[in-house]
Amino acid sequence: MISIRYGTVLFALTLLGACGDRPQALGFKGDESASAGTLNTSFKSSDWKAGDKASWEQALRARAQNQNDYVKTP
Amino acid sequence: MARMKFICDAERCIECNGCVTACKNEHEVPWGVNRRRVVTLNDGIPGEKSISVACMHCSDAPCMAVCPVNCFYKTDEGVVLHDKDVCIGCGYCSYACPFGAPQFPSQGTFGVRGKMDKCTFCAGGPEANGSQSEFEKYGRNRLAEGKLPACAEMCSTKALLAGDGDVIADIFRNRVVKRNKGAEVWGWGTAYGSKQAGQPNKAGGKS
Repeated sequence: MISIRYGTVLFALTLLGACGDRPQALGFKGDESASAGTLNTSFKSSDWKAGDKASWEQALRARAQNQNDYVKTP
Repeated sequence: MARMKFICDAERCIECNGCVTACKNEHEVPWGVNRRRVVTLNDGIPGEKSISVACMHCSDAPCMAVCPVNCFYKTDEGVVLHDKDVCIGCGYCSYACPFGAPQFPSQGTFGVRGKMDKCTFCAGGPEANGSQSEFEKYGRNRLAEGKLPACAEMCSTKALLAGDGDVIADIFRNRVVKRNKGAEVWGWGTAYGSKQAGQPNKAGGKS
């Protein structure tokens, strides 16, 4: 008799559990910074340290100067 | 660091479509989706000008403003990205964007419109930097590798510049000063109808 009662309660809880609402928050959930580095380390350029934002910014500024062909010619 | 930006120097662009190809190849962009394309003004007329166009990573991005599910976000570097897990493919962003950047792949048996795809400034998406899932959804994350976008680095004439806005603005300004022309191909006169870019129009308005 007790097991039937427990079974009924368990069944009722299971049914009620299905009525629960999953969180439906919209929007973006977060992203790690580019300066944090990459899992794909074999393609990482070597002139900065992963996690060091200042060195990453410096490396990108230096790299951007590769597009400045006026500094390549006298 | 300032915001990451693109500038295309129309005096240098030779409409080779190298940037388009570099982007397609780098990110394995599917058939029918063009994150970047080359647009030619006055095509076939002597003096035609070409510019390479993709997402301009607007400072006040209209796509972000209209998205009903708020899937867009902006990184610390000013790159406008989106979360494909949140995107519902409604297309509002494509109506809002003045550059035609948002693209929608045809997916499914009945050609149902897929989730939006656009230029990421080679910065991937919300998944872990350099992960396989990030690559499959957004393409390579070159920024996290310490590199600039493939389109600009591949550009043979260095018409397309990408990087820190202050740095590339300096490069472009230096070019204009050295060659003594070229700034006028961008701006009001070109966009809104003077006969010759950089020259006053007949109505006497400033070009």
